[in-house]
Amino acid sequence: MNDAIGRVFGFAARHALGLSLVLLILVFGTLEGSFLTPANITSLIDQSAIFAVLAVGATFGIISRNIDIAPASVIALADVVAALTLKGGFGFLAGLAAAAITTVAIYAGHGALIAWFELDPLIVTLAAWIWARGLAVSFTNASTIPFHSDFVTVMNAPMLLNLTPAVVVAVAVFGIGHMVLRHTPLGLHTYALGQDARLLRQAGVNPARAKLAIFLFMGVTTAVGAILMLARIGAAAPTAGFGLELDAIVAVIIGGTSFKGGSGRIANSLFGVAFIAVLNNGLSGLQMGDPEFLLLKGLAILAALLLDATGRRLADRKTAIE
Amino acid sequence: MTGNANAMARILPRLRHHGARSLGTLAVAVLMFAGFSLTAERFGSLPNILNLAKQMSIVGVLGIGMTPVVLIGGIDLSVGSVVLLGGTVAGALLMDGAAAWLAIPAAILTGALVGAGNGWLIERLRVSPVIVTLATMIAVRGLGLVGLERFRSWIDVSNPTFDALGVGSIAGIPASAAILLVIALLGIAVLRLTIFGRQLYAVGDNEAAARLSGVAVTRVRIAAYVICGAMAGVGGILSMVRTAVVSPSIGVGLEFSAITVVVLGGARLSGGVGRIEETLVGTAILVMVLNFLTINGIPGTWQTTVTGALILLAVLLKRGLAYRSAR
Repeated sequence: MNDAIGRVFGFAARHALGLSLVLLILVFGTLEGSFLTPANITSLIDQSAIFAVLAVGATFGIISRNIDIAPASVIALADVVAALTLKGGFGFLAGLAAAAITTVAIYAGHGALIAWFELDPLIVTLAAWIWARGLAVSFTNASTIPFHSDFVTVMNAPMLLNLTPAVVVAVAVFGIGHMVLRHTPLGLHTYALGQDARLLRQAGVNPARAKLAIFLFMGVTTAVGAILMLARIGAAAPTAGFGLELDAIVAVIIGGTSFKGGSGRIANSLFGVAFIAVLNNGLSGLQMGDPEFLLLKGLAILAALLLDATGRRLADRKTAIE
Repeated sequence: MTGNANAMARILPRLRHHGARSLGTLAVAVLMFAGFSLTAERFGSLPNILNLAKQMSIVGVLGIGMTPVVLIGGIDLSVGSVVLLGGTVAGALLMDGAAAWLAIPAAILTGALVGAGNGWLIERLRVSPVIVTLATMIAVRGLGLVGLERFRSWIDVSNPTFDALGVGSIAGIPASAAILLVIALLGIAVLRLTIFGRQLYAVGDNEAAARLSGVAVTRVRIAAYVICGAMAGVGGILSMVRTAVVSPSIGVGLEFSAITVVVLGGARLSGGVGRIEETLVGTAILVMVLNFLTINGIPGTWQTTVTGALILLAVLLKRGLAYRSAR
């Protein structure tokens, strides 16, 4: 009997985050009649496509100890560049290319500064968090520039299971991210950088080059995010995606990837993405103001972290006793 | 003559080693002031210098609070939200008829409590300070806004003490700048002269060594966050003094300004390196640049871009100096 209870507690301790997600869904399901309807679930998934893509990049960043807080600001800037390109008389493909090139170029610059000049990634990306958003606002005089093209129409039309193509893209990015992290040298280097850069040097790999490669990969995921954002709002808004980088980082951590680096999996991040997506959608469904939304969201994240830490401690203690 | 040369030979390396970095930032600030004064007539005028001192007060106080946190290798992203919460608590008390002597400590205490919460969560949960203070940044802003809703999201501060702090001056120095100066001197004294101050450096420089020499590492770290929170509470008061209102947008983005001035001063985010004097110089640099841009009619949106670029420039310069002194 005691054993059975112990096993239940052990299970609960190991899966504290899974249980908190289930709890969250149950709470919102009871409070809101419309929460578990197919229409709402579809829109929940649609809404989370962009930050899910960013979470893949954030997973690489956090595992390799190269935190990136710039993606949302870079997305705003890249989309402004895209819209200005279109406005300048070039086609939408040129616009998308301009967005992608802007993003990857900024990330290459970050990678170079961090790899060769050994600058702190937090400072470098903090600077971009500020200047990229500033440029986006300056270029547009703080107004929204439309991006009219067939591409936007296609991207907002329901496809598979009533979901937009953005979701298909997000799923693909997750799949690719998983493959790269598990089965390629880049993935191996990502883990090694998070554990000890000397490991790489001993294996004959240049750590600086590995860092640059990781930043280029994050540049690609952010570029995908920029294009999805452009398609979603059909315009370039200098305020686009404000706070998205925080959601992505929190999703990765809630998924169980340690901020200390060296460990973690893409699948875990998917779980954290689900948690944040349910939280955002459920809270906004409760029709409350911004103040209550922020308060409850922050508290829910803290509660999830607290639960996870307690669960891990209990699980550790149990294994220690055994 | 030889004696002189010998003395120089002895002193120069030490100067390079200890002082070069802080002299470097100070030199940049002085050169900047000289250059700006020459190119913009109004910049060097006395009214504008007093204005600069006033503009330094809020960011400076937040930077002073952030310094011990950066010293221990931490970071606090919640200070901008604490400015709002502290302002809301003080504003609400004033609206309910409380006196300023009650409202001001209440705001500072509120900040200290948030700081204690941050420190406790970081040390007990062993979650990264970036994540914990990110979550409290969201939650505390929400809490402040909920409190402010009671007053239709806007409090007009009409209190004789606050008015006096807003317009008054001590020996020609604006009151808010004088407050910054007093806090800075206190902070410098604590970091340089007290055991706690030295423990902050010890913990940030080498945690294991500090632990082995009997430093209560956890307690020192939590104390750093409490100080940071309390200073953010002071920032809330200064913000009320400056604008005479508590509005939903106060404090937005200030956490990044606070980190910016600490980094501009030359502190190392991994801990162990940083001084309040240098944070003040960093604050002066940031405020001078923004003020110079305003005088020259450059809109605020471009000023944001320049702030970001300034951070990059500062860390690059520092890196360059470090390379040269390593050789």
